Amino acid sequence: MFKYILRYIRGYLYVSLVGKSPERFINLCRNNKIYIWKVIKDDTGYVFYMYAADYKKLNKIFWKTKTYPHILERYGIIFHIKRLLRRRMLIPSFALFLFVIYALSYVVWDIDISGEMRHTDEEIREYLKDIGVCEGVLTNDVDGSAIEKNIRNRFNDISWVSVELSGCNIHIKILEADIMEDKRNTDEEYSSITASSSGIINKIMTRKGTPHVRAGDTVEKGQILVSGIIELYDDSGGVIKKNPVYADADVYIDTIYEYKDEFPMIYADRHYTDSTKKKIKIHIFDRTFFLENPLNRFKSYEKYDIMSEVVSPDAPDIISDNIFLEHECISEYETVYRTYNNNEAVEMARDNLRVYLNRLHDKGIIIGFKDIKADINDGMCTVKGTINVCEPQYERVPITDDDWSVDSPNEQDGEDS
Amino acid sequence: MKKKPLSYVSEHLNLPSDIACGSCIVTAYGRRHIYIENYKGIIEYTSGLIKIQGKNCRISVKGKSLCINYYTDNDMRIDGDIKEVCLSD
Repeated sequence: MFKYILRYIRGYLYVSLVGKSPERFINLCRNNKIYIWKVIKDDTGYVFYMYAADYKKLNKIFWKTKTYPHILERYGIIFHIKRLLRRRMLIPSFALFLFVIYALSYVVWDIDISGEMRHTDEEIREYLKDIGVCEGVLTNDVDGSAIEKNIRNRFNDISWVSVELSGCNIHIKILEADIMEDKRNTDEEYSSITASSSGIINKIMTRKGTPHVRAGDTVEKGQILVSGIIELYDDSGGVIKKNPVYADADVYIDTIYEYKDEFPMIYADRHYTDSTKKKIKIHIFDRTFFLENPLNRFKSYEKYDIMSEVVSPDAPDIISDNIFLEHECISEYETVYRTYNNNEAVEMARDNLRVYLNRLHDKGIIIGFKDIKADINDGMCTVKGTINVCEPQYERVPITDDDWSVDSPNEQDGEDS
Repeated sequence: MKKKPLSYVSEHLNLPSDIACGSCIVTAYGRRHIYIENYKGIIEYTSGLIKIQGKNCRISVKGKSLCINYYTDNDMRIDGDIKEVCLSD
């Protein structure tokens, strides 16, 4: 194979030879180190292949042996190039091609968004389009820091954005802030633990600090439960020193939460029309390729849902975790207004309550007795009641310098009596 | 037949005769290919017969559709439907 490629690069000829003494011609070629191959006798004479560069050397031999050559075919890159150069428009076209490629390298071809969890790709793309960043804009007009700032301002729950322009692609990496509010203070500054709500102390276990309450005590909201000031006393009982610490304790308060949920009996529902767009995405490592009907580009929906299904990695047609298929279906829907019946309303209220309780549970709150009632009136479903909970206390107040400074008696100022 | 001195020496010293006295090497691969080494030139070439001059002998290859696939200073390959290979003085 390699031999054929080399021959093709050098260029070779298919030559027909007519004459009186071809054997002498072959011997002379050999003596002059002219390589010929596939010498075949045909009806008229002999045919053989030879390198194009050697052809000029044969003139003397042709004359000596009284043979007449005729080039039947030419093979090789050099002949292709010569043939192509005859076309007048080739060089201008090639120059135009290079220019177009060069010009298109100044245009954004793709925007890749990664790291988003709660926001969809489409939502972010839509916003980028609003601020003038989309496929087709000039790369010189892309201001990474401005885009980062805009995205952060628009989406409050996005805590970090990185916009990188690499070649003709914009890579946007997003880090979303955690939804759950964690009140636990991780900065170990001098502070005391206070009650976040009124109630009765269920349990208290102090690791660091001075406890101000005991189990069974009734506390008010904002009251200090565990102080971050440790007082040192002298023999007479006077405070000689106050040490500020980061109060550390497990304090649980039995308290009652008021629960209220209200929603209208009329709600908006989605009615899917039969209009869908389907797309197959092939993920190969970090690259994604689309297979899509080009006519789909003419379909535009006002409201739509995107449903993606990744073909399971256990399926036999999956090669590895890095190469897999994804079916994406964009379904159009219309908004229709419906009314809950009583059972549906109760079920809806239960679902809302379940979500609320789960959220409390995630915050470490232990749920106790619940007294909740639902009432349907004037097209509204109102759910009210109380929930007994055992709430861990994480609220803190920082300790100021005034809190822990001790006025030491100044012996110089003492009066002699 | 009287032996030449070089072939006599190569025989007694166990030297390869192609090196010592330039004998032709004819290697046949079935009936389709023949390799000939140490040849001097081509005497006759038709599609039915190729005669080759060696240093000490003449080689005739008879057959049908004979073709010289390639030839270099040292060796050549003949392809075709080979029927007979004759070695003569």
